[in-house]
Order: sequence, then C-alpha cells, then structure tokens
Amino acid sequence: MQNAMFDNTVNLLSTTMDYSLRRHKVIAANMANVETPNFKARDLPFDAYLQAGLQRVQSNPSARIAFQQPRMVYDTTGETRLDGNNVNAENEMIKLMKNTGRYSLAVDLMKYKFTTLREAIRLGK
Amino acid sequence: MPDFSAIDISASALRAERFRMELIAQNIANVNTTRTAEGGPYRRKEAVFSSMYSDQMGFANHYDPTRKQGVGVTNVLVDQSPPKLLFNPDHPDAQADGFVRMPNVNPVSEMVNMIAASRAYEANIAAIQNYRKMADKAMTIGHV
Repeated sequence: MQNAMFDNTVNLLSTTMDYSLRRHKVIAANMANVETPNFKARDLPFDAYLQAGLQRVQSNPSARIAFQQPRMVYDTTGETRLDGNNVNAENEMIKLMKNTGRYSLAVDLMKYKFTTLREAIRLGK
Repeated sequence: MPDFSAIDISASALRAERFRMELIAQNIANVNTTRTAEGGPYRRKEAVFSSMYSDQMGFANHYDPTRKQGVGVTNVLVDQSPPKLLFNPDHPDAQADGFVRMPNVNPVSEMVNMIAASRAYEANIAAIQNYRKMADKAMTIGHV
C-alpha cells in the first residue's frame, strides 16, 4: 500500500542514501589499508540491485521496491603491487567523490520531494 | 542518519600512519647512533600494518555493521640487515680494524617512506571530510 508521504520515491532515495553510507565505509577501509601488505580492495556494488529492484516496480507500479542486501566483492581494477596490495589511492579517491555526490543528490531529491508535498498541503489552507 | 562509525575506520588509519611517521622520525634521529641499550649500533625499525578485516578473519560477503574495519599496527620489526661500516679509526666505537659499525638507516629511503606516510594520512583526512560533507548534507533534509 502506497501513501503520498512515504512512497517509492522516499523508499528509493533513503535506500540510496543508506547504501552510500555503507559504501563510504568500504572505500574508507580500502584507503585505510593503502599500505597494508596483501590487502585486497573491496567494493559494494549497488547498481545491479537497484536495477533489479526497479524492474519489479516498472511491471507493477504499486509494488514496494524491495532491495536485497548489497554484497561486498573484491575490486580487481587496481594492479597488485609487489607487497600483494591492490589498492589504488586515486581510484579510491574518485570512488569516494562519486559516492559523496550520489548521496548529496539523493538528499537534494528528498528535499524536493518534501517541498512538493508541502506545496500540496499549503494549497488546502 | 550517519552513525559516524566510518570516521573510526579513517581514524584507525590516521593513528597507524602517525605511528609509522614516529618510527621514521626515530630512524632519522638515530642515523648516527652507535650505542644502544641492546648493544651495537641502532637498527632501523619498521611498522607492520595489518587489516582489521583481513581474509584470515573471514571475508564478509554480506555487509555487517558490527564488524570492526580499518587498519592497525600489529608489530614493529627491527631491520636485521648488517650495519654499515664506516672507516673512522678515531671514533670511540671503532673496531680494531678501524671500521665503525653504523646504523643500517638509509636517510633517502626514510624520506620516501615519510612522503608515502604523509600522503596516506592526507587521503584518510579526505575520507573524513567527505563523510562530514555527507553528514552535514543529511541535516539539510529538515530544511524544506
């Protein structure tokens, strides 16, 4: 059952924000271990889960978006150095920036959502 | 609402890098030390970093918020490479053949390590700043 206040938009945006915070931790842990021998970079890919969640809604718009828990995977984009570590600091920095940007976008969209709602409430006064 | 635990991850790295920096400073400070409590010339020391969610601890396929993450210094290793020999017969610690056993510290490699430690420190500061940005942003949801 949907309602105007907590519909799929709010659900989707809050999931995105939650995911960004989790991914930040994974990236921060990679950066913390940039000098740790034999450490392998990890990532928390979300796009696939977002797609799967959205597909359900496209076929049935009144369905709630249900997300699985994102699974942590090894990030093999960086080259493994002699000490067995494959964390690429630049790569992690860019991931960090993109992740913060995504969070910020989700917050802005969330604000627009509530601004729109407030406008609708104000019309009734 | 952010729970700020991501800052703990970056903070663990700041602590570790600072400790490494202290060891580097100690190595450079003792570049000419020929007498130590253990006897013989000073030997170079190096920090051993280890990941707090290493593969030995089990790789978390699922995100687990209670799992401690980050990095820690688990050991300080003493460089066992032989001391440098410097010919200086007038030195009070000179051997019978006139050579003095000097510390196995190479100032150039210490400098390189210092730059690496300082860059890693900065990268983790950037991670904390990004997290703060996100936390500040979250507070603006209320201001519609």
